[in-house]
Amino acid sequence: MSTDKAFGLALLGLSGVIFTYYTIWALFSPFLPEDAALLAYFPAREWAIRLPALAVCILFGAVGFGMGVVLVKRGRARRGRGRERIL
Amino acid sequence: MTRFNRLLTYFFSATALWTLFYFDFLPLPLDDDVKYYFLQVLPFWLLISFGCWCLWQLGMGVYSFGECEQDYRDLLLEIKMAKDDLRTKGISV
Repeated sequence: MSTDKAFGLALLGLSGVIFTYYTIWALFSPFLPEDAALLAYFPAREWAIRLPALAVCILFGAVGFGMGVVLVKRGRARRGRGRERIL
Repeated sequence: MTRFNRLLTYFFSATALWTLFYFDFLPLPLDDDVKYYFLQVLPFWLLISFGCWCLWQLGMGVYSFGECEQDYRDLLLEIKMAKDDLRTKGISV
């Protein structure tokens, strides 16, 4: 199997693992008794909310920062060109 | 109706329904703390599920990509021929 197909399969597997793990963690673990053996594999339940919220904040921050850099650069270029045209 | 409009309609309908359940305008046959826990977890779970679905689509696309070995070799040969042709005409490639 070529490395491309292997990479595709890896992505498929990763998405399945993440989905199953998160579903059990966020939706099913509240129904398990406190001393269930399965709960040892999951961190505390509030992190099931905090981690996605942190990820969204970081993503929006990075995208906003990138957009800001582009806008400032464009504004500087336009102001520079405008000044030349006036002179 | 475009696909985007349909998506927006579903999204805002779901949000309205969620809001109705959250503020007790529509009853939900669950205990209070269970109900609020699920209503609060649901947006984050949907976000993670959407991310996983996107990963799945990417993986499926990469996995089932139709490789055309012969066309790849033909294309490389054509590129080489074009470069040689341009070099004879004096253009540096």
